[in-house]
Amino acid sequence: MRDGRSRLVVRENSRNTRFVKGPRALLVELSWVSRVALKIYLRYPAWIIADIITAPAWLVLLIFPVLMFLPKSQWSSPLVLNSFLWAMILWDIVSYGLWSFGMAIRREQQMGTLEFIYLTNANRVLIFARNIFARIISLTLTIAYTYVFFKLLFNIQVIIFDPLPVLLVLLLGLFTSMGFGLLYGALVLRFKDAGPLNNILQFIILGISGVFYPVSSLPESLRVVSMILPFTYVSEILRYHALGMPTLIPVKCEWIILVLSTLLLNMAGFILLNLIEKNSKKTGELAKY
Amino acid sequence: MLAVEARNISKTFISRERSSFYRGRKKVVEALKNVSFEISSGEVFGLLGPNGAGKTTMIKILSTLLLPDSGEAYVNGYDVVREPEKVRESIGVSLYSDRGFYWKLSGRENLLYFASLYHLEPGWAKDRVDELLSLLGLEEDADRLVEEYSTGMKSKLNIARALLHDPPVLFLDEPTIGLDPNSARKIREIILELKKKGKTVLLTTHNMFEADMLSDRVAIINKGKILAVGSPSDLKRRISSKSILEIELIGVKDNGAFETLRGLDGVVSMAHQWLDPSAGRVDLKVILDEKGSLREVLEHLLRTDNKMLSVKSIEPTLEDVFVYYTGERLESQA
Amino acid sequence: MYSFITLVKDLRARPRFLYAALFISILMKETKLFTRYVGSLFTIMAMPFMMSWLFMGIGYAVAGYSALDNFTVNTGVKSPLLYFTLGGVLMISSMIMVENMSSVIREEQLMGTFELHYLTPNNTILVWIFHAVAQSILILIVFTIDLTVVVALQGSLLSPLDWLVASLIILLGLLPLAGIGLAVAALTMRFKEVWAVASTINSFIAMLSGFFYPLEVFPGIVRLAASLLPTTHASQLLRQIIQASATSLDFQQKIAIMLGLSLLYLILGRFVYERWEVEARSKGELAKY
Repeated sequence: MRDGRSRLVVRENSRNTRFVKGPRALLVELSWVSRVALKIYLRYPAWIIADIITAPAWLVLLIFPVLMFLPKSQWSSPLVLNSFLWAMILWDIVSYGLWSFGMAIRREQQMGTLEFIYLTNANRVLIFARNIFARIISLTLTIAYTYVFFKLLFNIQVIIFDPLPVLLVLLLGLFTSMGFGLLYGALVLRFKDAGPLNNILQFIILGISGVFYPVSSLPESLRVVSMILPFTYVSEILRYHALGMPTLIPVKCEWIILVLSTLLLNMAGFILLNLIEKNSKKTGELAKY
Repeated sequence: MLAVEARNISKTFISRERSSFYRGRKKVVEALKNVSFEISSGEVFGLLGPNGAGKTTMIKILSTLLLPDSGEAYVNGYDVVREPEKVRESIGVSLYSDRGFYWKLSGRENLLYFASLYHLEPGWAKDRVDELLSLLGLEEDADRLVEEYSTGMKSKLNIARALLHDPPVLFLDEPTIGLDPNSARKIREIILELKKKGKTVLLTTHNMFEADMLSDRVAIINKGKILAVGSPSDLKRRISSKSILEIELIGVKDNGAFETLRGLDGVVSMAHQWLDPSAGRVDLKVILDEKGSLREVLEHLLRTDNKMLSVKSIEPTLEDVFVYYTGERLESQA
Repeated sequence: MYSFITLVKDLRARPRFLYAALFISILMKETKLFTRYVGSLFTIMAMPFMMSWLFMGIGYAVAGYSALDNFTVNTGVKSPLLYFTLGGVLMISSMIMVENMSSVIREEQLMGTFELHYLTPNNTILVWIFHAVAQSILILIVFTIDLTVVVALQGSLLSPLDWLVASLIILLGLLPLAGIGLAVAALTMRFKEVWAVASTINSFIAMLSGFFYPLEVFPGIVRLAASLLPTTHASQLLRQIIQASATSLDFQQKIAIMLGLSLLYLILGRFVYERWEVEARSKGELAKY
């Protein structure tokens, strides 16, 4: 009882209804969210094929313009090409995390399912992170295909000094980009079509974070800016462990900064998403698309 | 025991008019103005009003999808603003929409997914989904992708989703809209079954027949305000002392031919509906009080050169109650 | 006040130049939509610059001081900014054209407006071609702004004649893509995954058209395939015009090829679309989405 207000016996007609609570509820959600993601993904076969087929085209489109700045003799330099290969893989993972929440929210808005999701008490972040489960499959295929194409096109060996730290930093990079993705997702919830902003953001991040080249080659003023971005540390640590290239500051420090900034980003994204959800409910714009 | 309480709920929306390339001026729409009502436990409460009256806005506020600008609302004793999670556990909502499902999932898969979001135990959820699919006549189409479903099937699936976790309170927003008569009848039967089981149902509709048939009490809402609340028979009784005339005219060129009736002594309310504009056929509903006289009305109409096809004196319906309070027809706004 | 007599009278009045009036109303609709998505408009205009700066940034970071010299040797062009911006404008334009025309059926079906076009007394293929022309005109505006900025930075401006010729080349380069788009739109109705196919086509057009590198980097067979794309010729011609290095023979030859390709692709698109339309009408699938 509260304020003398009487409440119905909850679910007096639902003696048979069985609910799960706490961590088990989260597991049930996770199980179905991942299942739905995979089912939907596999039921759009054209997208799977397109993802794989277009991988080499985008690889060529990104690498060849840059090769124009190098003498022809260096076009088959293993170090240069491996830098590009790892950069492409990193960018694939990172850009997906960046877009994932926003795309998921946009999709739910367009399908009309967003409001029905908000009628439940399910974890919003888990639901909107749904596409990442399907991405794990497509990413594996894309990486394998990119590797094969790379070998065929340039006929060089892929260099990877420490595979485990490489895998760890890629995984952490995914979570880092998810933090940005949460912020972007919040913007999509508010502005509906925030794609243009993310397009611009992508280019800025690509340019300043040293994804394709060491940050040490940037002018001082830009280097300071890039040290603020967590992606810089992902790129630096990846190049260190995959290709043995030096980092700006000791690699252990870079790992610590990366972990902390990832945590902070994700928290900020989560808070913003909640704030915008509340604001959208005030303005009545939750369902709009 | 009260299942739903709304006290002085107000809600305003701001939009922009666009007439050329750029954003025009701001337009303020008062969707709800100090709306208050109560729904007892186990009651079917109808919210009857035309499109744009504020029905869906009210449902969205009660289901925590929308925050009111002012006022308070409680569902199952929980404050919709301060305790939204508890409210959501207590309600099932069917919103009017042609979308709202994942096209590349089957009906069954959609329901199982939402069952997981409602935290239903997986084994139990499966049985519950089978039960609901059977109840709503969707068992044969359960494993077809939703992109192949008709509008009626999607409506049924919508209701199945609202019933997944067997909540004590249900909000059904225009549940039979767009359905063929058989499907609509089936949905109404289900609502009556739910009532027998002791569910509390808030039903919004602009179909007066449905409101009359299903509701224990009805609130008439128009332009964001509740105009009258009562059982269908009570509401009709309020205007039973009035005479209700249904007059069909033909060859009418414009509204001026009959609008002057409003000023006639004894005419409490009047509403019209064009049946065939090209032939000038229009249907009038005129409500007279004790001072009003059929003869005066007919004489007035004949004086203005109108040709009358038929004149009927009818028993009051909820539509007439609506006309009485608003001077408009429900159907002409639907 | 409803007056059926007045309304009937008004309906009898028809515009004098029916198809001109139709085209203008389509152009107005497309312009309003174009300008009301301000974020997308800004992205379309800024994207060529962002891509240019990205390539140049990576190129200079990787190659150091000899970057510009290497670029001139590899491409024959002194200004990477001009080279990449021109390529970027063409790439974005071609992507927009293919995507918009491919999804014209799907998007309109989702909105519920597709079937309504069939209720009007117009040839529907003409309606979609008018859409393509309207979009080409709008893209021309983007092209003009972007290229003027870059060319002005070089210390010169395009003469009105050069601008007219460049516009003609762009139109000839883009319109055939509308034919490809229509064919894709019709062929993918069954699978409803038009965006996957459009994305694949776009990636290959982008890779093969030489937007950002000379086609000499590819083997002969790939260059032959690239010559079947109108955008390949458009990008070569436009570079020559802007660098004032086009010969009249080159010019006439390429224009003739582009005209031929335009006709070929538009006829193909029309043929495939008309076949789909007949089937959709008999199966009642015009509105199905």
